[in-house]
Amino acid sequence: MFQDMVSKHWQSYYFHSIQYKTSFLENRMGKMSSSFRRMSISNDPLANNRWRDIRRLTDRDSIHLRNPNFEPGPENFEIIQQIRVLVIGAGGLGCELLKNLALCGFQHIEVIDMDTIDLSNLNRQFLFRESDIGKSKAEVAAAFVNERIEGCTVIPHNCRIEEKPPSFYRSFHIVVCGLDSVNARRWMNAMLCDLAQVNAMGEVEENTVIPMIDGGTEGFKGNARIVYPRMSACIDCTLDLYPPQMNFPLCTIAHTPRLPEHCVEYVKVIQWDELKPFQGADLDADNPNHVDWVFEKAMERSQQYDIRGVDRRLTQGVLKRIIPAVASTNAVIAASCSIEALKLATNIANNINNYLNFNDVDGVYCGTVEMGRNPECPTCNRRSEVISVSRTDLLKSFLENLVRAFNLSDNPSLTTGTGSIYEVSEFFPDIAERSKNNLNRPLGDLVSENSELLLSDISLKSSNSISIRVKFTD
Amino acid sequence: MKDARYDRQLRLWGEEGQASIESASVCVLGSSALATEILKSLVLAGINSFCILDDAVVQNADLGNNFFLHVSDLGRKRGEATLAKLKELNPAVGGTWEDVSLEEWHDERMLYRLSSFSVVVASNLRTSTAAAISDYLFENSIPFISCRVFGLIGYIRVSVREHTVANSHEENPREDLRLDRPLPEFQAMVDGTDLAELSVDEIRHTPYIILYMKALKMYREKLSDPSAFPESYADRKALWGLIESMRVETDTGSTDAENFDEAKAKLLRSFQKTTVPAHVVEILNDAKCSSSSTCTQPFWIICTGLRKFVEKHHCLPLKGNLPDMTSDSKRYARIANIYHSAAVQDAREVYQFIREVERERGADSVISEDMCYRFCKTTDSIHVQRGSKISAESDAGKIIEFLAEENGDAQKKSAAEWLLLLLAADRFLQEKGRFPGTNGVPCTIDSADLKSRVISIVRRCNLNPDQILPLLSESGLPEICRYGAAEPHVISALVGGIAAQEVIKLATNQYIPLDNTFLYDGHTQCGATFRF
Repeated sequence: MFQDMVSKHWQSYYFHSIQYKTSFLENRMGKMSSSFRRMSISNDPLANNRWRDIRRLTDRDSIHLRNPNFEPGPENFEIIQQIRVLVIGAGGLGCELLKNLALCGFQHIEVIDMDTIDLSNLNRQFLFRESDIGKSKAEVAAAFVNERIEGCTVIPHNCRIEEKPPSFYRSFHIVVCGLDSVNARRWMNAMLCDLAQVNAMGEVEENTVIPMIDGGTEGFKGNARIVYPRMSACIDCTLDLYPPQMNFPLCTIAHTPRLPEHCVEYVKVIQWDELKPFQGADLDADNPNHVDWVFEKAMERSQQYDIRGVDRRLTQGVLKRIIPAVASTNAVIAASCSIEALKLATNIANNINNYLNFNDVDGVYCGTVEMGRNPECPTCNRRSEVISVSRTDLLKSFLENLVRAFNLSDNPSLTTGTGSIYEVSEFFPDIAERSKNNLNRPLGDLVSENSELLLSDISLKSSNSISIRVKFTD
Repeated sequence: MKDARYDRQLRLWGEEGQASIESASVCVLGSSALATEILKSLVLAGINSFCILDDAVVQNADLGNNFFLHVSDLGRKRGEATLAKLKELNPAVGGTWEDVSLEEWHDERMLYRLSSFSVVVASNLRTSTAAAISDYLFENSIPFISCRVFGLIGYIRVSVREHTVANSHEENPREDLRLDRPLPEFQAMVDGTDLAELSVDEIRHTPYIILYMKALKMYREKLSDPSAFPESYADRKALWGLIESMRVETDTGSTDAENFDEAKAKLLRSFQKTTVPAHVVEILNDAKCSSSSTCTQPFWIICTGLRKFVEKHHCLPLKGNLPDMTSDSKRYARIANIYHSAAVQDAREVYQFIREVERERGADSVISEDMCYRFCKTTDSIHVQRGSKISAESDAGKIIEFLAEENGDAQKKSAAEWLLLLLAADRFLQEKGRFPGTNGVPCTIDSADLKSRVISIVRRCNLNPDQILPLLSESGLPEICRYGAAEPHVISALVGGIAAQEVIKLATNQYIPLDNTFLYDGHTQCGATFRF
């Protein structure tokens, strides 16, 4: 019930905020009357419209939906075209997500991925060809979609998600994740939880909430979920959903191996460092020569201990911790995520509440469950550090004190839910300029008492940032 | 090269599954968003070839929902335009397109043409056309899948006469330790182990399967019953007490030991009587496994060989894999080898029976010893699924039964309502030449029209509309009209992904297909399965 309220509440905010951001209200009347004129013709007014199939849903009313926030009309599709969506990952899910979002009508899409294309990607990452091997996934995927779907602009970022500042993430309305790593997912979740601000009354400031849609697959199983940071269950609230990483005890690997995996781990963990092959190079599981070397040594060890089952595929699987993947599951999960993004943008149907499970090994199963928040979650329920200062203290000395108190680097950033107070990065020269000017301004001019501030720094490993509140002594 | 490209899927269905996929030829009726999304996953997986049958011309609305078209394709034949872009996905896959109209699909000549494919998939065919095709393909034992996208609704119907599953991939396969009838070599090893002679460290590295056998011996002595075997919770508790008594103290006074912890955790899974599961018995009793059968399909020949093995030994061939357990390397390897050798031996015997069956039935020898060995690893999960033809008339009756079912699941009822409304939309199309909600008239008018089609379907089932109509929600009819037969890309991508995997199941015979109708509702993102 609470989740329901959260979702409705958020959607109503969302709709109005987009209206405000896109200022389409100015010409709303003109468009309404022209669509009315078209309606009077007895032919299907959308028959020859490129976006006919989405606009059936966005333009027409639905009593099935029973969502008071849904206002049918052509504006809904215009909103889709204005919304900014960020896709995290341009792999199996990412390729599908970009295609799906582009064909929902989204036109402002950005994608981040640090990976390059590998031959083993081509059984599912359908935006890549053999000639693309070695190139940036984000760049090739973006170029492909931009060429194929007229009017859609995908901007690629060939980098790690950690390289982008909070201001980058704050500029999106929806974030959709297609990741294969729990850590990256947690980082993104923590970032969005940080961006969601709590006001002095302890309420979440809704205009700072950026919903995160997260998909994951393994073989023929997958899940899709929607997280409203600090309002509904976040990734860290439900960490036990992820299987613990399989680690073999060192003594088993070294002294009592039984399984083929133990033999490969032995070569990886112990022999590689002892024998220093390839002039002492680090083990690279993508280098076929390295894999062959490990395979050969693991074979020797398996023969020594009479263990069956070491082969090259298993060797590579252990070295890279490979998760099996097929095109069809990625297609289903990415579609499920994209459907939720479309619903968020338009209210054409209610969002799921809040976690979808899919499995098609035996028959087909597709259903949802509600994940509850963990009241103890350190990520989405964090407490703030309260710091007492004078209104006349300069930002410069305040920051110096923070750096000392929290052991930060020499370039931390200080932001509110809606803007930067101090944030210096080469990507955003405007903000850097303004930030430097702020250094000599008194805190009383820059922050309001008791509102939440976010202190971010590369040295803060476990979460991205620390939440602080200022209490004025004067 | 091929190995690397398919690496991530080979880890799921193995070389054998991949070889089956690479020999599959798939025919797809239609080339709209749903059809191309199905084909995308199949081409990527590496099927042998596909054939698109469609005469549609690319319109503006296709550019808004079909990824395998470019704005420059406007006005071209849609099948031809999508074919080129689908083939780019995988140079190993062959593809063709035939300029054939929907109406020709159920003429005799076209149907004959369809029966040359391994699997036929229809996209967005109305039920009556799908039923005509299903009639023909079912008789000819060609698997057929009919899928549709209608607004936020997705539909997949699998129509297959007989689907067999071997070499399945169960997530938690049954363990096959045979503690009730231990392998002689293993029994000898257990008998030769005297726990009293072992050091503390050796006891802490004794595989739990040995602890089980030692405890079982004490258990039997205590009950003075040489064949006693723990079957109830109380039995297992008593047995566990005996295992506990074998614990030893380390220098530090601790009795904690991983092998004992594992023994406790695995007790229930390990102490299972060796039986032939009922569903396997049923398959082995099938007429195709009888001595008078002339069936030469590999699955049934193997099963007949298996039947002979079971008749002789009263158990299935040994799986032969030993679960991981804390142990020193030497003893674990020794036990693993005992189980492995016994499994190889059993498989060899099954293989001899298979050769016998092949000779009896005059079949070519197509089953290799290696194939037989792999089959023997999962004989407890072989599966036979027999499906049905698609029939609008009889399906409608069953749908209404689901709707009328008292205490039925609300979600399933809602899904049944969509199925009924799809049939009504088909009748609407048949009588008015268009789907509801596809012209300028307000949806409310079409909605009333659609309702009269529901009534006529109910009457044809010899049921009273006054009793059935109140079972429907009031919002379903106008919602179908809202959709106006739209084929949104995202819904097509979802349904296409599921349908493609069903094709792969039919091609690989390693997974259990949908039995037999799946209805997806984009509002809730939940699915329901119906059997017609």
